[in-house]
Amino acid sequence: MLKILLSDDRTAFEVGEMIDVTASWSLESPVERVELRLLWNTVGKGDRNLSVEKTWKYDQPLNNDKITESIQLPEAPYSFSGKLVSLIWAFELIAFPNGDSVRQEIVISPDAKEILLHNQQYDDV
Amino acid sequence: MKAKQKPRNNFCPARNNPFATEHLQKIRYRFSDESLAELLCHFDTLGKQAAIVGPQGHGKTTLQKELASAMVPSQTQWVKLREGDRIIPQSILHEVFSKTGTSDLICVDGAEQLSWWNWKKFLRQLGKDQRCLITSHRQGLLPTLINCKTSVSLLADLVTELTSTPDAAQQKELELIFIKHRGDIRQSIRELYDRCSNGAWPVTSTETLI
Repeated sequence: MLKILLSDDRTAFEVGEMIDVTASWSLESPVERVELRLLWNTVGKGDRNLSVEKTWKYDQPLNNDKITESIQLPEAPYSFSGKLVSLIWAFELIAFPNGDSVRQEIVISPDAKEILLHNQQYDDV
Repeated sequence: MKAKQKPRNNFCPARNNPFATEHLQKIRYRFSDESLAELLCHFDTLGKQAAIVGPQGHGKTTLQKELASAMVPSQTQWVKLREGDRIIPQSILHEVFSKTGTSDLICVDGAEQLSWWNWKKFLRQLGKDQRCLITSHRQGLLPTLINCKTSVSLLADLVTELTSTPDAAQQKELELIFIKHRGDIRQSIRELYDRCSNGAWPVTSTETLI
């Protein structure tokens, strides 16, 4: 079992914020490596883009372990959603070589809220 | 006096759109007339060089990927041709043929793009024993393994997998979309994406609309 815990159980953060990320795992058999990744990807109508911004590698890990990293979140790009595309930040914890993984999506923006790109339409009431 | 207004829930963010590309990529080919095993057997009887034929958006590439992974060749070399690619560059041909043994598979996606002359040139280099699976809009390049067909029920089946079972009104809409796009499932699903993003096609949870 792989688990990602974030500071105060929050999932939305301001750009450049310092946060504690705890990666923990309880593995049935030894693995070569566990990686914690901070990445963003796009989702939408077109092809998917993905960028791994930072990786923390733990070689020859114990079967049960827990590691906390203090991480400064990047300044950009911001989390946003439009009709055509969303940009999603996430932490991923992956065990190699079996590929077991867990993903925790987060929001990064100036006011810790996802930026929504749409023209709100209104109905008369 | 100005009328009171309330925001209309007509926006589905891309991340919540069930017709987003990442969901479509997980969809498997639906075998109908022939099963996967039967198609693999058919491929062998055709001399291990065959074509998946059909118009755009009829599942040719999806089936090609499915068959290639089921054949378990030592390795598969992929040549993907886009609209207007009348020739496979010599450097790519050289790379494909230098790395390929007869137990390997060469897949050409969009072979109809090649000019007659360049197709013949490719065939000469291919050799008779080389396993090769192509997709093409037209018949005649290699023996036809299967003619891919689509239907409204296939579209409805995919919509069910991506969202929920369409009701009677939605089923009618799907028929119109299917006809409008002449059976092109890819274009039909793109239209559903747009409708969904405008709130004109229901998503499974109302919370996903903003």
